[in-house]
Amino acid sequence: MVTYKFPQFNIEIQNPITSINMNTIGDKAVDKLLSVDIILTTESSSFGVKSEDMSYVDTWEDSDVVNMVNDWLKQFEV
Amino acid sequence: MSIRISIPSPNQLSCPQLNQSVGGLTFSQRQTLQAVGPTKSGQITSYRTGDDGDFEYGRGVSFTGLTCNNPFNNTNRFTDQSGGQTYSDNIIVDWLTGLMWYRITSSGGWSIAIDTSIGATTGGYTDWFLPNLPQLAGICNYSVSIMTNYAPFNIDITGTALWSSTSQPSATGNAILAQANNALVGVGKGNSRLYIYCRYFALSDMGL
Repeated sequence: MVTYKFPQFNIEIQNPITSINMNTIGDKAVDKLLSVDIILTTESSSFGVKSEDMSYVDTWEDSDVVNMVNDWLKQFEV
Repeated sequence: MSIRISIPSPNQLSCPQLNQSVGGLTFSQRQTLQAVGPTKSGQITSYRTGDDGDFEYGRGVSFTGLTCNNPFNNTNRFTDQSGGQTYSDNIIVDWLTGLMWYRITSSGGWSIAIDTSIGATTGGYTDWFLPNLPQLAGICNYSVSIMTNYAPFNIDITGTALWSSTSQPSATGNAILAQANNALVGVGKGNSRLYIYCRYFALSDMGL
């Protein structure tokens, strides 16, 4: 069971299913930073967040983005 | 309490119907009618507390789901004229707004869109018109990336847009249209864009 608390939401998001929309990946190639839209879905609600400033070294693959998102989400775990 | 009202076309109550002391609506009923709000936008994902996806304000249980049964005894907001989901004549009945839509798009400038709409005889009906902005916005579903590309409309307006009959007040040479990127913007009336038309239906249209 994982619980997230984001500053933009008043409530805690408990045990959501995480969906990454790969069509929304933004790549600041100069700074080597990625962003991507994420949907966190619980039984009753759906929450949209944007993971930003995820750094990479030289190149990235789709599978890397999944790992980056998982790491990025950790800072919001309660 | 069951209220039966004879609704003229277009679907609007007259002042006597609302106010007459005998046979009209009670004050409480009038307040209820006036509290009937707009439809949902369709957005179901919240991006911060207090946004549309958080509240999901609007009538119905969802963008396509009614709170109560329609006359065909199902809770589908959109049905064909038989109450089903076949749409063999491409006519869509919207039980939340009282509008009937012909989902096949045509293309042309704004005046052509208006003239063609009011001249249409699709389905044997002769009271079609080009939707105004709120009418068009009422079928725009903000839970999908192309807001008119959802069942049963399935209108993909990628790279183009749908005309409304509403002019842009600050630039009346423009009319407002719904764009594929989910924006409602003003565009010169001479440009060729897509359009669909609608009409207010009566229950008797469907033998009800």
